[in-house]
Amino acid sequence: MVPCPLCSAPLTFPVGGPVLAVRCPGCRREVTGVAWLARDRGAGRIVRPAVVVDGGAGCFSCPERAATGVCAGCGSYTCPGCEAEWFGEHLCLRCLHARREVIEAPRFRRRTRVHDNIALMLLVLPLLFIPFYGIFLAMLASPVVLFLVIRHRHAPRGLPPRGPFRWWLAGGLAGLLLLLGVAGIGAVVYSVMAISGRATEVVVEVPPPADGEASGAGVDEVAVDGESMAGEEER
Amino acid sequence: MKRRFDDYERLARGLFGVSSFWLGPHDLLYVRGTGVLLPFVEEYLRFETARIQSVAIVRTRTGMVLNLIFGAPAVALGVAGALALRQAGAAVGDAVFLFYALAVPALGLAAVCLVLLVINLVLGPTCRFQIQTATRVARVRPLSRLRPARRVLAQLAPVLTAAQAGGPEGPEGPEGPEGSERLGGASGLAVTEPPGL
Repeated sequence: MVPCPLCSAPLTFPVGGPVLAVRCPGCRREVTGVAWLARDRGAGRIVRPAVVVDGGAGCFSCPERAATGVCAGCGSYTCPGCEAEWFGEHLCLRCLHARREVIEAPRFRRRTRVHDNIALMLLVLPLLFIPFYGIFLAMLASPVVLFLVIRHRHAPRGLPPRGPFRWWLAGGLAGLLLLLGVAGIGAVVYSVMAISGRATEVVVEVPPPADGEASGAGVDEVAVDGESMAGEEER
Repeated sequence: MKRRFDDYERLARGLFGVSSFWLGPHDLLYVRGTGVLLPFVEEYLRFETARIQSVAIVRTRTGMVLNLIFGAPAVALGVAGALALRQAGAAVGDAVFLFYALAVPALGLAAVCLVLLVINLVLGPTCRFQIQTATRVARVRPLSRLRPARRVLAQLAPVLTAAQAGGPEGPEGPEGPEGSERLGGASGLAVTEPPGL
């Protein structure tokens, strides 16, 4: 029975072909498809393991069960409940887990975290979706991106192979933004220092009072300025 | 993205290459990517060719809805922009600027909607592509357009039939030989229905 892709109503197709179009009784749509007899090949069958008899080999994981196979990975005896078939290869569950999760052999790999894409998007998404302020967010993210790029430089980039273009792009962009950020901070600090220095110069440029005609407050300023000028002259 | 690697040949790819669908020597590989614009995590779903029970396609109305979503604003904004442009020609004084300020954004948005509408029309009607095995029924998202989905189905049908008729793995289990004989009869494209179906 083939479920309709839209409404899951059971449909009937001729086994082994040809490709036919039938009308779904549930959603009334035309469904094109083909079916095979794969269900009779043992997939999804539940096999009850036999109890081990005297002199017979027992399963490595459950010794009370009779072994029916040998793991292609480690060679241990397995019962039907403790083995799995992976493209014609019979493996015990420990070996299967190791190949899928630990070793991540290409034919067994389950998932890949694509670090260069994550790094690139950490920079690009703020620039794309946050106008103006996005560049500041990207600058803040650039050290993280550089860390990701360097830390995972040898990590696999997915099962279908890809070139290192995105890795280089993320690294280059992060480096550029980091330099821009450092330069910006430097420029701000320099500007603040320059402004404060100019303010001091303005105070220095106040002319000294003539013959003590200034008021009390003016006298204080003059005295300070006079001292600073005197100090400068001495230097 | 490459068209082939190792023994795998690419059958389809999704928007921006986030997901893809590959035909291998013994299996179909569905690379399901999750992320924004680019895949952050790739999951690999493998369907052994000898274990696939069915492949089905059904046309959906998503393409028609997208046509409406892109087409209606394109027409409305286009008409509004054209009217504003026409009024701008006849207006005097500050009203000219006002009409141009209305017409230009409206025509720009209409152009964007029109481009999206044309792309959607060129890609053709949408569909759902489904693969069924004994343990799962999976929807293949890269094949969301009817024309490529039908092309892939036509390409896959003989490959899967050959694989199930005694391919590299061959029949297994106590029901293997019987299943093989039954499949042998059915693989000659005879319209016979097994008791289970």
